Amino acid sequence: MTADPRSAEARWLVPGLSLVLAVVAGVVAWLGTRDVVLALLVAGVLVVYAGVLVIGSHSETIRLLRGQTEDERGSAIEARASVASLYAVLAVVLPGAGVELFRGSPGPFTLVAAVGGLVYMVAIAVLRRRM
Amino acid sequence: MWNRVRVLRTDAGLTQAQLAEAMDVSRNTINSIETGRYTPSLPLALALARHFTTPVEELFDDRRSPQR
Repeated sequence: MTADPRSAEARWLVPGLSLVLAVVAGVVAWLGTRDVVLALLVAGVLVVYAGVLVIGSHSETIRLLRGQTEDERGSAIEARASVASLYAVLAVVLPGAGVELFRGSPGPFTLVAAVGGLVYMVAIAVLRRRM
Repeated sequence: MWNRVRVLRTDAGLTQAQLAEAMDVSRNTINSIETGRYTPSLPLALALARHFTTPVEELFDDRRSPQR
């Protein structure tokens, strides 16, 4: 995605994807549980998120959340936020994978940890050659 | 990193928004550079130095503390 961050396309891309995800998540939640309230709650959270992204045009934070990285500082903020998110995910996934392996039944946590570790190693090797 | 961006900008009679437009960055980025919260990339530092027709080492100094 290389849309000009100031374009209308960039402005509506993430909110639009959030709305699509709201529908998908709501349907999946309903199919999995047959609980209409839960499905609406799941979809509602994403709809509210999309709404905030559309309304908050003057906030730099909202623009960054919309994926509108206007310059190198925006890209740096996005990269650091991504790393912070990664650490949070690792804090959940690694203990989860440990428990799964301890029980002798590798599951989703183990899969996510394995994929993440593999991608990290490949990325280091590729980026080392490019930079 | 300490820098003279704010001094040179005000001397030139430019607002942060005008300098941001000239550098093709956001006004927040210019403000963050001036306050020392953000250290620009080498291309942006060179562009700023070129804009103010001053050597880059006179615009930025990593041996001094950022000004607030």
